[in-house]
Amino acid sequence: MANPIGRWLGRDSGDVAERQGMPGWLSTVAIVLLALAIGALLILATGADPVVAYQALVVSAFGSVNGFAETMVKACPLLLAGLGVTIAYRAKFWNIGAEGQIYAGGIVAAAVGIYVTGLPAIIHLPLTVLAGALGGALWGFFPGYLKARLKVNEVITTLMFNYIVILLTSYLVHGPMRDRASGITISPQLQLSAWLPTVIARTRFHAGILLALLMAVVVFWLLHKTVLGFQIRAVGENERAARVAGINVSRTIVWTMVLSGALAGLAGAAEVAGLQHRLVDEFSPGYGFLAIAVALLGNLEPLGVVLASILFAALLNGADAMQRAAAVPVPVIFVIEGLVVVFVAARFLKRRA
Amino acid sequence: MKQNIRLLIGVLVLALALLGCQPAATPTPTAEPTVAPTAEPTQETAAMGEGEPVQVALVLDGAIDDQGWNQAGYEGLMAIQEQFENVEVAYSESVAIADMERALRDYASQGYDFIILHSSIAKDAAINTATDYPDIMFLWTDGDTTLDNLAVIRPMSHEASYLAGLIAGSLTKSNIIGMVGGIDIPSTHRSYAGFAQGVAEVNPDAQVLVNWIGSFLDVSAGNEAARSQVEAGADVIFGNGDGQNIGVLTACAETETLAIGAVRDQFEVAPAVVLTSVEWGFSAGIARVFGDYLAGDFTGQFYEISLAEGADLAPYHDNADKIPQEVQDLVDQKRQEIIDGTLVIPVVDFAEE
Repeated sequence: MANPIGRWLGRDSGDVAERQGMPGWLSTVAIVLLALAIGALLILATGADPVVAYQALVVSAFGSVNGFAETMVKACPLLLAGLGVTIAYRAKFWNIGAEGQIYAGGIVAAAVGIYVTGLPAIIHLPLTVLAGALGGALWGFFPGYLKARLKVNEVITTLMFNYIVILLTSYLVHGPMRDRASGITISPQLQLSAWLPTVIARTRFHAGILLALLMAVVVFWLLHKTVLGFQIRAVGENERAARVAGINVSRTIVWTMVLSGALAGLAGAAEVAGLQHRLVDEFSPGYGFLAIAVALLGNLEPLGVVLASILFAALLNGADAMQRAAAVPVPVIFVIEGLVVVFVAARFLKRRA
Repeated sequence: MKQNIRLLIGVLVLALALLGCQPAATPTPTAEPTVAPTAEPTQETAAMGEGEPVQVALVLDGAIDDQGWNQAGYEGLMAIQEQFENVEVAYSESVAIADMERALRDYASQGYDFIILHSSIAKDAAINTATDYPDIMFLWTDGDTTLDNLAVIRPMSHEASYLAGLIAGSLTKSNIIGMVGGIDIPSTHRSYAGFAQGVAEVNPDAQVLVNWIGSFLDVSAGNEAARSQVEAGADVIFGNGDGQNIGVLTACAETETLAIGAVRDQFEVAPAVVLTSVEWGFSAGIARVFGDYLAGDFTGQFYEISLAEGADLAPYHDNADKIPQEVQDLVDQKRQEIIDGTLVIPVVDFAEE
C-alpha cells in the first residue's frame, strides 16, 4: 500500500515473496536491466559498441511512426496471449498451449471472415473477432475439462494440443482452404467487411491493438473485481482451502481455461483479421510460447503484461536495427530474451520454494 | 515437493518450447556487416555517381548461404552491387513469413529506393507495402500480381527442367525416377511438369515418383522423402525447391543415388552425385530488373527469365563422365531448339483436377 506503483505493477501486497524481498515490480526491472547488461557485455565481445546498438534498438522501436506502429503490431499477439496465460497461471493451471489456442482462434476467425458473406462490417467484424475468441476458448476448454474431471496433467495436454492445431492450419492452407486463384499455400482473403481497420495510415497499426489494450483493463477488472476472478486466484493460492471454503474448483478450472484460451484466440483473430487478412501457414512464429515469458515477466498482472509485451516486441523488432547499425549478430538479441526468461523462471521457482 | 517437480518440468518444457520457436536466424558474420558498403569509390565512379547512392534492400525467408533459393537471391543482390555504381545494398535474412511485411515496411520507411522480396508465399507483404509506398520500386521474385511500382519475376524454370528430365530419363536403370518438391505452387509445379515431360520423351516406360513435402525449409523432411523414394527403387532424384533440397541432395549422397539440384548450381552440396541443377536465373534476373529501373524503364511488369537469359542447366562439373555423350548431345540440341523457338515447352502451373 505504501507504494502505489507497486500496487499496480506488482502482485497483491499479500505476496509472500514480496514481504521477504524486494517488491515484484522492482525485481522485474532488475531482471530486465541485468539481462540488458549481460547483453551489453556480449555485444562488446562481438566487437560492436553496445551504446550504439541499444540506441539503434530504441530508435527503431519507438523513434518513428512506422517503428512505433510495428512495435505495437508485434506486442498485440504477445499481450493478448500473455493475458490468457496470466489468467491460467493465477489459477496455477500451467497452460503451455497458448500457441495452439492462437492458431485455433485464427482458423475459426478466418473461416467466418472468408465464408460468411453479405454481412455489413458492423456485424461481420465483431462476429469474426468473436469467432476467434470462441475457437481459442474451445481449444482451452478441452485441457481444462480433462484436468478438472480426469486429473490429466495440463502441461502435457496443452503442449500436445498445440501440434494438432498448428498442423491442422498447415493442412487447411495446403488443402481445403487454399487460395486456388494464386496457387500459393495461403487461404483466400477475408471479406473486406471482416478486416480490422487500420488506425494509423500507411502503417499496420490495426484496431486489434486497441482491443488488446482494452482486454488488459478487462482482465484486471476480472481478476480483482469479480467473484470469478477471486475464485481463480483462490484456487491458485491454495486449492484445498478454496475447496473447503466452498469454491467449485473443477468449475473454476474449466472457466479459467475457457477464458485463457479465448484471449489467445483473440490474438489469433487479431493476426488474421488485422494483419494477414488470410489464414497463413505459420502465421504465429511462436507468439504463444513467448507469451508465457511475457506473462511471467509482467508478474501475472495485466499492467505488467502490457509493459512486458511491448518490451519483448521492441527487442524482437529491434534485432534487425541493431544488426544494421552496429553489426550485432541477431542471435545476441535471442540471448538477451533467453536471459530474461531464465531470470524470470528462477524468480518464479524461488518464490514457490 | 510434488508441486515443485511439476513446476520444474513446466519450466523446462517452457525453456524447450522457447528454444524451439526461435526463428532459425543464421548469424551474420561480423566481418560481413548487413549494410555491405559499396566498393571504395574511385575517382571515376565518384565523378559519375549522381549524388546520393541508390539504396537497395533484399528480404529473404532463409539464410543467405543456404546453397539454394536464398543464396540465389543474395547472389542477385551481389550482382547489383558489382554491376552498377553508386549503389548501397542491405539485406534481412531468415525473416519469418509473418514478419515479411514488417521487414519491407522497415526498409520503405527508411527511404530505400529499390526493395526486393525473395519469397513466393509472402504475397500480401509485397502488395500492401508497394501500395503504401508508391514512390519506391519493389521487385517480387516469384509472384502473380504486379502494380505500377511492383515488378514480378516469373521464373521459366520448366525449360531447363525439361532438359534435366531428358538426362534423368536416359540415365535411370530401374525406370523409377524421384521428384521431391517443396510446396506445390505455380513456379515449382511448372518445373516439375517440364521435368516429367523430358523424362517421358526419352523413356516412356519410366515412372516419376512425386513427393511434395509441403515446406520450403524442412531439410529433414526432404531427406526422408528422398530416402523413401530410394527405397522404392528410384535411382535418379530431382530435388525441386528451396531449403529442403539440401536434405534431398544429402540423402542422395548418402545412398549414392544420382541427383539433380534446383534454383542455383547445387553441385557443391553433394559433388559425388549431383549431375546438374536447374538454375532459375535469379541472379541475372534481379540485376536485369534493376538495370531497367536505373535506366528509367521500370514499369510494374512480369519479367520472364527464360533459358539462356539466366535460367539454364548448370554445368556437369566432375560428373560429366556419368552422362553419355549422346545424351549430352541431345540436351545441347534440344536446348538450342528451345532458344531458337522451334521447340516450346508448355507452362503447366497447376495440377489437373
